[in-house]
Amino acid sequence: MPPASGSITRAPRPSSLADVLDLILDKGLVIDAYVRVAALGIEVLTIDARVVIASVDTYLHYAEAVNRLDLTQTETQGIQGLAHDVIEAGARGKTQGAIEGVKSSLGRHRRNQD
Amino acid sequence: MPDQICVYAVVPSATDNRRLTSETGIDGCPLELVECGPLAALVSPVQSERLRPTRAALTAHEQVTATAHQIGPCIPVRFGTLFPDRQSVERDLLTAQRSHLDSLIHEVENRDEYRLRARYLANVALTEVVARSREVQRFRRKLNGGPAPQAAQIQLGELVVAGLEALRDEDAEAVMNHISPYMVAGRRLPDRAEDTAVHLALLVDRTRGQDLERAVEQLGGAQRGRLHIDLVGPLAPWDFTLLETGAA
Repeated sequence: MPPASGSITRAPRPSSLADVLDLILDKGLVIDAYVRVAALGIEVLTIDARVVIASVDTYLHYAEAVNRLDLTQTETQGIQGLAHDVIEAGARGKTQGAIEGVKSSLGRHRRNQD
Repeated sequence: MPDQICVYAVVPSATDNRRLTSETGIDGCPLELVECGPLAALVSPVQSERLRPTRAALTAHEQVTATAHQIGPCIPVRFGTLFPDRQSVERDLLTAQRSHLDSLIHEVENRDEYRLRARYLANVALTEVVARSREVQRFRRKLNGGPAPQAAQIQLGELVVAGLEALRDEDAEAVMNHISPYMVAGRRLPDRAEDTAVHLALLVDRTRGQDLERAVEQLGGAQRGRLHIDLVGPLAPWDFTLLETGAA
């Protein structure tokens, strides 16, 4: 996790399963006839994990978010740091959610195959 | 069930074979090279008809290609590519695609991929969208009083989403312009996470890697309090060997 005051994180390699999925799925050389992955539409897994679907709900979500927004912006550095921590925690939550999503999709798929 | 041959990467056949095959592949299977003229495929047997995209298998595939990339030029092959036997790897991959693979190998030789993702810090993007749009401000005033018709809320949401898209495009262009002197090629990756400003794959000459890092650090400093930047790499060139090729 990046320091609250820092603005860049360096990593030599993907550090979570979500990052590995991000790096290699649907990437690399393809020899059509020979790609056989036991997950129907594996790209759906990554989409499941990330997407905010553009729909009425999304628009309502943004309308609400922008209405809640406090534009006085009197945040101090400390509060910004805190906010950043919260984002990081949120991002971790999302990643965990994504992994669970992948697991459950795979689980579903396995059941469908059985 | 007879073993299938899982292909991880294509490398020049002159590569350090012992180092290449020092690790194990998916399910701990031993790595081998299928060599044919100037090219070799890094493979392992697997005992299944299809690959399951499990954490262990995906991580192993990434690990094997990362090691190959550290040793020499490497074309990562898509996860789940299985051939029935070594002969078909030689025939349908290394022979049938030789000129194509040769030029790809040269394209990525002494080059690394980096992934750069810039994220907006909390409320930054929304605040800027509101500040830049009189229409959004007007809607906000109108809707702030209390319950508003859903149609109006949807309209506001649409304006905000359009504003976010425009903001992302501007930031993507600014980031790309800042780092373009240090890269050979760059590609914007789809990423619809709410807080992502821009997600890029960059192909960089190995000799310019440190320059790129400095440029990104500089960018991070300039955007402090607004964007957080993640830079991952040097990686195998996953996004620059995408050319799809059918079996001959």
